[in-house]
Amino acid sequence: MKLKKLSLNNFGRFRGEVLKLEDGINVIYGENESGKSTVHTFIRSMLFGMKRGRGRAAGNDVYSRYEPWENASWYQGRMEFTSGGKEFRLTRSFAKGAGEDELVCLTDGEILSLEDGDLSVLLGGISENVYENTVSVGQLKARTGDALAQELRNYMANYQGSNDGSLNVEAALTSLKKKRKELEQEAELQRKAGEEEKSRMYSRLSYLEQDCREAKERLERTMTERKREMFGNEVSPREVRKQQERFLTRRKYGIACAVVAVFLAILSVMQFFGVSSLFTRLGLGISVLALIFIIYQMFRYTREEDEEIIEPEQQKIRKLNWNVEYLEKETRQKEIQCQNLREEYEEFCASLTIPAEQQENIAAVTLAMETIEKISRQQQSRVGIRLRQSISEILSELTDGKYRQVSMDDDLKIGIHSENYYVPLEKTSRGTMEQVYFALRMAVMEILCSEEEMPVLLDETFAMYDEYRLERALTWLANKKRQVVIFTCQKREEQTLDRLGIPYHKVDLSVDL
Amino acid sequence: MRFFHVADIHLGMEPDLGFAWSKRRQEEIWDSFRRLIDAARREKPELLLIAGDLFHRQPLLKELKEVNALFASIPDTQVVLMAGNHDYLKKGSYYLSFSWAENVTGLFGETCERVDFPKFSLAVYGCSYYSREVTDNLYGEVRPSGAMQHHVLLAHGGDDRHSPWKKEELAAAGFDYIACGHIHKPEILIPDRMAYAGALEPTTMTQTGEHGYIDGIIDSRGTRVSFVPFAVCEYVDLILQVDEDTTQFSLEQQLAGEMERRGEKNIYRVTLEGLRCEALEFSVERLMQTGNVVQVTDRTRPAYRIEQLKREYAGSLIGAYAEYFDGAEGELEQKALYYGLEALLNARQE
Repeated sequence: MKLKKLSLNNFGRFRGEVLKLEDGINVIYGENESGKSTVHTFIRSMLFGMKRGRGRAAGNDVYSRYEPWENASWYQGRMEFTSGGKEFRLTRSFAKGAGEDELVCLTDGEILSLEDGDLSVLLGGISENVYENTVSVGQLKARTGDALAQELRNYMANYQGSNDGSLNVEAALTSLKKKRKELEQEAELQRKAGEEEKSRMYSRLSYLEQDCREAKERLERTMTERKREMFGNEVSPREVRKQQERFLTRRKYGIACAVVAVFLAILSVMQFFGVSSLFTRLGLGISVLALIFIIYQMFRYTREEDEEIIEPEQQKIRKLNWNVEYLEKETRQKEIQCQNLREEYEEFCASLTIPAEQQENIAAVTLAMETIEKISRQQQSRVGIRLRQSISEILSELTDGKYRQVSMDDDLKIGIHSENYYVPLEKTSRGTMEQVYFALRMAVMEILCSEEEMPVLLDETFAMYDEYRLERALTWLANKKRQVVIFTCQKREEQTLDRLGIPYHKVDLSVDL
Repeated sequence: MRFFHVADIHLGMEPDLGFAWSKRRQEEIWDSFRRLIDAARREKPELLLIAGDLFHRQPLLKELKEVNALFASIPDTQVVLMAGNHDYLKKGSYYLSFSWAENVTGLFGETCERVDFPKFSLAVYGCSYYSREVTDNLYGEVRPSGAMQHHVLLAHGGDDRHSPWKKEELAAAGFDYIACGHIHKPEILIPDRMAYAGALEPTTMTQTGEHGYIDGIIDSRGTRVSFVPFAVCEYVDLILQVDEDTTQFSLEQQLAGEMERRGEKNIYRVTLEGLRCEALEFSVERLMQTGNVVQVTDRTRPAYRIEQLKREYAGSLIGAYAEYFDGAEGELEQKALYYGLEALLNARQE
């Protein structure tokens, strides 16, 4: 594609301006504020249309910036260009709701369709993004040495990795890593909250279990006691004392009984030997009666004693029975409470998983990272080698053979090789870095825009070049026989071209206005 | 003969454990049960069928006393209940040793038994759970028998691990009505023949929609049942549409408005959908504090025009990335697409 004529009918500050461009080198000269970048934007907007910002961003978008100063409803431009040996005319209206854009082949009068992508075919399928990062070349933006080297390194890494000069893949991956970390932390926080609830439940549960165990022990103790009482395996001291008392009483009655019996025996002997008197007979009778009384007393006492002892034992057992009954109830109640809480605890533990949604988000971020790395690697291996060769060739020509090769190691460190030595990029001068940058963009353009040769737009690209470098660059461009459009606010490009005897076409914006 | 059929009351349960309304809901479940008894006292149905899971866990003695006192307050209604998978008859369960009021019948057998109510010429069949899971169909063998005219089956379960059954087979046994429990969403399985009453009050966020009990009549003309909404609270799925102008504040306003309109007693499960402003991310946490919000799912996407991005970035990594996920339907891939695009677009060097 070669640009022939730009008609800025009503665009930004321009009204009815027509710029003619020629094959080979064109120099668009203009002082600051004379509208160079407007022309630049105009070309891009003609080729790719103008997209409007949305929402809050709309106030400061390209559309608003170049909205004509007067008569804004007529916001229009026209461009003539050649492609594949045919001439075309492209008309676009940028104003909202304005008429249709139009693309006409002037050679055969055919009207082409923008909607169907005919223009895109003429552009060799390059996208706006690729255009901006290749065809259209500005200056490196960074000003300090290190930052400059960094910018260039990113640039190169990404050209190599992704074809897309403006994209910092590492930064994208870093931000995704950060995102994943955030998501994981969120999940972790939730998990911790769950764990806290869990441990609260657990301590409640263990308290209840302890309580339950104690109740059970109490019950068991009481039951053992009852058993002991019931079967009387052991005799209590009180009972021993009582038994002793009983024994003593019985012995007392026993002695009394014996005394009476002896007395009775003596009386009986006396009776036997005929010593019979009223006294002995009476004594005998009394003795028999006393004996009977004592024996009766002995038996009665023993019976009474036994009854008295059995009674409190039974009372105790009855009390123990009540206790056991009460403790059984209590234990059962506690056991059920305990089981219920244990079930609840188990169910809660089972429910303690990271919600599927969160897991999916984390997996999605991981997938995004893997995919970016994969695509990036694929593109790198496809383009990398060719690109390096191409940069090296261009740089060699620009530096007249001083630097022959550009290399980049796995850590993305760029270095340049001369015949005898190697210089890391950071150590080179700004001018050299600019040259590497220029070589890089030209090389990428050759690779990416291989279908259709695009004009090279250079926007103040050579501002930092010294005379020698400028000469080399202009010579290189002239040799390429491409259409080149140089935007500049200086006279040095013209002077150098004059000196080198390279023909060029000049458009002076300051004169025309 | 008129009957009320309820199930899955889950007394004692604390729904949405950890949320602010959990205790309140526990009370509301008890309150709704009391209101149900009030309704029975007022309307005097002959029969109150409770198809399992009256309690969320093993009932305590005091809880049974409370329930029994409530039953005793409706002497004109015969209460028939069973133990479900939550309050199953474990060893030592108070269900078995409790002495119930005269009008209460517990179907506490391990296999189906029949209880006759000659007054209404009605036989009720059923059994109870003895473990948390029952993988055999408890109701496969039971058929109407005896001299009664009407036959009602009380059945709990119906899923894989809780007495799995085929509703057609069960219905073919010839009962006038099969009162089912266990599934918390009310559902008429076979019109006027077999139904899940559903939980009296919903117990988790998946149980959206109305909850209540079934009011039915069995007479010479057959069985007629109808669902009576009774719960004080509903779980509501709320979908909020966002667009590029939506902000966190406007979203909170919108949510608060919706909740006010649909009832502030309800509990909401919120899903955000639509295309949000590229630079914005919504705070789920703040939304959850707006009211009874149990869950917020953010399905919004940054408002990237994928087709436009593909065109604009054709031949570059961004274009290739968008292309890579083109046509991928899965939620995971869609999310990855947007996460990746966001990172890549932000990583452009201006």
